[in-house]
Amino acid sequence: MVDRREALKVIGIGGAAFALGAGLGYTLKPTTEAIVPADESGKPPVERGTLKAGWVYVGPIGDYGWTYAHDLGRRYAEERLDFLETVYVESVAEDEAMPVITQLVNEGADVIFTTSFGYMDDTIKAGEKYPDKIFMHCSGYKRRENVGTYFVRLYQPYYLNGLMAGAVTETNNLGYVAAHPIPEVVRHINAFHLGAREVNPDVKTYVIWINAWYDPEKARSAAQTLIDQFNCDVLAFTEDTPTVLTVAEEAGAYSFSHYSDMKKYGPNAELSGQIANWGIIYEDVLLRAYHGVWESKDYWWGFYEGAVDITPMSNKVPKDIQNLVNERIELMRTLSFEPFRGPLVDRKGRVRAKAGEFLTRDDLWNMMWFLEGVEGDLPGEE
Amino acid sequence: MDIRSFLSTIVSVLVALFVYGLFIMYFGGDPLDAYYRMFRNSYLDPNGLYETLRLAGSLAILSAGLSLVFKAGIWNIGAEGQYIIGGIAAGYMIYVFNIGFETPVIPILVGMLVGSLYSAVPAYLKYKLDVNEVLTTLMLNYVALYILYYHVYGVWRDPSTFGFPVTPEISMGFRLPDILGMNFLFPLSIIVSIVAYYILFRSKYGFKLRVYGENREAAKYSRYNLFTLIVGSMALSGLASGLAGTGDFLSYYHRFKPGYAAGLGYTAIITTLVGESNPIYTLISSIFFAGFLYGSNTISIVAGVPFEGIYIFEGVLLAFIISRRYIGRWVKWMGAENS
Repeated sequence: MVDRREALKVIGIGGAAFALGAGLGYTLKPTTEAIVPADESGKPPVERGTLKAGWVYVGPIGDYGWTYAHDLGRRYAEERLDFLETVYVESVAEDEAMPVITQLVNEGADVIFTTSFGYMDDTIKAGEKYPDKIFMHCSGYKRRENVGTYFVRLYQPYYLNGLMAGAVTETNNLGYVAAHPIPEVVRHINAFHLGAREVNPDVKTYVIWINAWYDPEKARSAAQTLIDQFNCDVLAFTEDTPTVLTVAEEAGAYSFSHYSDMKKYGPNAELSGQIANWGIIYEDVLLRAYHGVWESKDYWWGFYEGAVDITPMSNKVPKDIQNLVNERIELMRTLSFEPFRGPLVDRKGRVRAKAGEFLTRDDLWNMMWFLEGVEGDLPGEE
Repeated sequence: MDIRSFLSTIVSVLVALFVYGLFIMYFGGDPLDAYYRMFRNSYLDPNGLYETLRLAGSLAILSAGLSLVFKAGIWNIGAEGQYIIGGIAAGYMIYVFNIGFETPVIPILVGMLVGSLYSAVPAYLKYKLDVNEVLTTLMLNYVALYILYYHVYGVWRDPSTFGFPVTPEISMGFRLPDILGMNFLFPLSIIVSIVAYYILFRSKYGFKLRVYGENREAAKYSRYNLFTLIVGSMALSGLASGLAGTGDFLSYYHRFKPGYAAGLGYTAIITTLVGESNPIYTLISSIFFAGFLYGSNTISIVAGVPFEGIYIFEGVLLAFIISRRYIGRWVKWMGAENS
């Protein structure tokens, strides 16, 4: 089949082609640009005149959801800060962040934003490996000297959306298409149900997990199941596509926008939605990094800081509910209202907050229980 | 593979790089600069080289197994599933059954065995009932994926990670060490490739496999034992896939995550075809593809190419590999002109 001499010849040619390719790369490389990684210059970013920031995204920027919203934030920061240069990598699997971070550092990034919970351990490892770079991890809880964390209080708009859903539903069955059974998503589900229950005590919320942030096919079948088999007429979701809204539009049901205005995917079905304004967090971090006054901390911004909002309410939402929502927004803007206020009892009957008490930050970040009236399996339920 | 076939492979790769280069230019990047930086990040940067060789190791082991069946004309699309099932089986030896002491050896052997059995099932169906192995192996990939999800989201989930779906990290005694600064799998893959080459091109069994692959009738008239050819080669292929899955688990991930199966079982189909189902060549194509898999992010970073770009490259390359017989003719024609 292949004799030894021929094999050697082949390998020789392969090696030669390889060397030629590398050699070509070297010679054709523009000489004006430094080949050494930027960090070897040893100068802090402020002396370089520009700051390079890199984003690691879990989905495609065209998802119209989570990643799209982060990318809007990136563009916002780039527009506002004239010293800033930005790069990004899309659709990075949750356990593949390290190679991407390494390549971003090699290509000269000073500040790196990792925008999915699953990147947490890799971001911490990267912080140890590149102590002179700044890392910001979105939605995690691990920090170190050069690794900060940030997130938005999206449960606030979810709660407001719940108020609307509870008022609009006729079947008293709400559906929820959820990505992963992690505290962030559980918190959103409970906030949504909390709002709905407040205006409609009979309401039930049915949850289906699709075990993916970005999987339009699974989101579609989950939404369809909720409508057909659970008789749900208002659907909320925490996953990164507008699919659920599209399905609701087709079925004559209602749903919401998630992370960006998705109205065009369901002009009749969209009641309102949750918006995150990542740009103001990015601007704050990068401005501090540029002037050398950044220090590691946790940003958890909500209505008070202007980092969350709802999209305009549909006229299908009753007027009195619209007024209630606007009233609550005003209160949250002045820190005078929080949705997760006791009495709160989980569906196993345990008291989670006594009357008048609020859930703490740790409670919210470890939430692995459902309120009474939320139906469906919760893997890892406490 | 003769020299002409090899040259047509190189031409296919170059054409794919050229087409992808046009794509990079469309997004305002400089293809040569982007390729150069990718090359630098994948092969010249120590971190990059480690990752590239790690990926190359997994791909080469998977490809070595696939070479055996592809040469026999059996289309095992199930390397991905066998990789996952092998890893899970190894996980059982760590998370569930306590063998009293910590060693990676037993989990590896069990992982290989189970990967092999998982591959033997569709092979037996093909042998006995002539069931199309493309469909059965492909479908079994999904079965394996959901078995993985069941363990990651359910029974093996680490309670200490705020509910995030990962299994606990395995303790040091189960891990495979680095060898000479390289991930364990790369040196291992060289041995596996040589062994697979020996089986395929130096043993009687390999000869029979190749005869069966080239001429089913001839194999039948020669009264070859089809059971050992079909089920045996598939079992060997599953053995290799199971080894790769177990190896990644024990040497790199140290735990299971939903993204544990990163599609290497599918990419290995391409590396095997590029390497003409010759385990020595697939080792080379695995090193090349691993560099591309690892470094493709650089293209995004420096040229702003969206992530779909990598699939365009893979698609163009696959199309050229499949049609390279014609490119081979063209190369021959060029050679005739020159001589």
